[in-house]
Amino acid sequence: MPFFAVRYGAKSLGRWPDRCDSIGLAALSLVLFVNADKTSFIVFLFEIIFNYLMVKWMLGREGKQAQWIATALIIFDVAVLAYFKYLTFFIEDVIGLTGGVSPDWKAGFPLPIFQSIPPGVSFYTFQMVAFVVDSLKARRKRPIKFLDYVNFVAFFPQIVAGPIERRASLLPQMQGFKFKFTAANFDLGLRWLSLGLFMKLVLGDNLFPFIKDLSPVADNAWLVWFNAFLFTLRIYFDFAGYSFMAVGIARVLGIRLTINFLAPYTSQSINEFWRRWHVSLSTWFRDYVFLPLMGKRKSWAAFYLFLTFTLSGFWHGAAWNFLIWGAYHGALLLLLRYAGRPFSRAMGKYVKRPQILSWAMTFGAVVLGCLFFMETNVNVLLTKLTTLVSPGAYSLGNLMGAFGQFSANELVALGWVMLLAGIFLLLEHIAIWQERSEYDLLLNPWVSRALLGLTILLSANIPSEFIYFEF
Amino acid sequence: MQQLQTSNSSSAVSPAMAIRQWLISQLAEVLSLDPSTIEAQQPLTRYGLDSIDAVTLVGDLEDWLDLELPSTLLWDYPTVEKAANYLVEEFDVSV
Repeated sequence: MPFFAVRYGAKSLGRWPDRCDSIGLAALSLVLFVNADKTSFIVFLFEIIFNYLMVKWMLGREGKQAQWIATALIIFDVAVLAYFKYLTFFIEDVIGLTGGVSPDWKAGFPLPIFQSIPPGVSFYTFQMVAFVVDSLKARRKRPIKFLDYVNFVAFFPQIVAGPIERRASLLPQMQGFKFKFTAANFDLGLRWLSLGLFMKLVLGDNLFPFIKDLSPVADNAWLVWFNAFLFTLRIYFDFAGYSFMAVGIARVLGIRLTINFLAPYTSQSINEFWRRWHVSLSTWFRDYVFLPLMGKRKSWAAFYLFLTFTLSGFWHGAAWNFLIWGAYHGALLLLLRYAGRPFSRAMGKYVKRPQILSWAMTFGAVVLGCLFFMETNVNVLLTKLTTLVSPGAYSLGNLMGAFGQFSANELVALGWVMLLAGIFLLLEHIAIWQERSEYDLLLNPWVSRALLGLTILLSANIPSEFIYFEF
Repeated sequence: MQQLQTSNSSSAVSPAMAIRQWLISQLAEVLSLDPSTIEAQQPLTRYGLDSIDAVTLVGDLEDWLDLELPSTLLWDYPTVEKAANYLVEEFDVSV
């Protein structure tokens, strides 16, 4: 606020050069980062300077030389990410499988071992890697100013959990950046912000307390499904809520970010789901993993698609369950392609409204996938899967027991949250049926005001952490 | 300048139209659809085109046109009409 007050005063006196907006934005982003985590900030600062210098060097070279610089830089960026995120997993869970790892290996390890990953490292690393590739492929290899690069990578609304922006969409907005506090930007920005706040604070956070830790006993199939269902709702409201808040804040400042979610739970196939879920990550994996890995070997596309999804699962976290989750979605896509098309054609002949059945099967498959995503303990995950395939676990007693775990007040509260979530998702469906943009109805000015009012009234007393901050 | 051979060589067909016809016939074959049901302005994903189809179709298109095309062609230009127009404008394809 002091910054904007000084800016306002100086601008009124005509003593505010445009360049100060770029400097102010960079300072704002960096100050927020350093306040969040000092150690992570040092790592980030080193990475951003190193990346900038390497890209600058690369842009001054041509052909093979430029390619070698790009390759070295990408390897460095991925190695830093691997060090922070996957080192412990690799040593304990992969090498550890052979039994050759001492329990106190961390004490003798030459580098410090971090208990948690630095905030945003998964996201800004991907943004930096994409920048290297896009700069290498750019037709015009103009030099890039350091300040513009800092604003491109460190832009505070999206650095911690995306959207993962591309050079072509965000860099031009950062070059010669000026705050554009216009009425139109405020209006649209605040509507996205209201939508995001409602999704996160009212829906996501109010669902959170009802998602129970079922370990070590998970013998009630109804409860396993219900927990996975609640988690499926919560992860969408939490992550899309964050993304829309980022879109809203950025828009108020005059920056357009990628819309990272496109009503994914309206999808009628897993293909469609992945076009609507975490769009910036899906397209990142498509452009920088799937297509380059496959190259000219297009007859192997199915294999590379499966591999890419497995890797994208592993990006989410250093644990087996994320790998399984990614592989599960890759396998679903292949199943849909090779078995689903004949099934779909047959279904179209006998079912009056196959779209509803397709939607239900897709949503069911996503809920089952969330079971893999939410359970990092592989033994508990296996117990849950065993429960799901045990007919006895679906007994009437278990059904009553599932509801019996909640008090009357909790049931009423859960009922209200579910009703709001249901209306929210229905508005997305209606927008799709009417061939509007996905959040058109929810961004309506009157709906937006209602969402803001509901957020003030119904926000969870204890806000939960953003799920994707862990990744 | 790339020369196209169309299935109907006797009639004059614009390059964009020739590419459209080729894309529609390929899509119909890959997705087991009636070609008359494929509209050039509709997103290809609406007909069930997936990532594997998208890259293999671009590969076939490369062979047909004898050109090197971006693998993301059908994501960047997600309708028959947009893809055909892009190819004509960007690669100067002619009949």
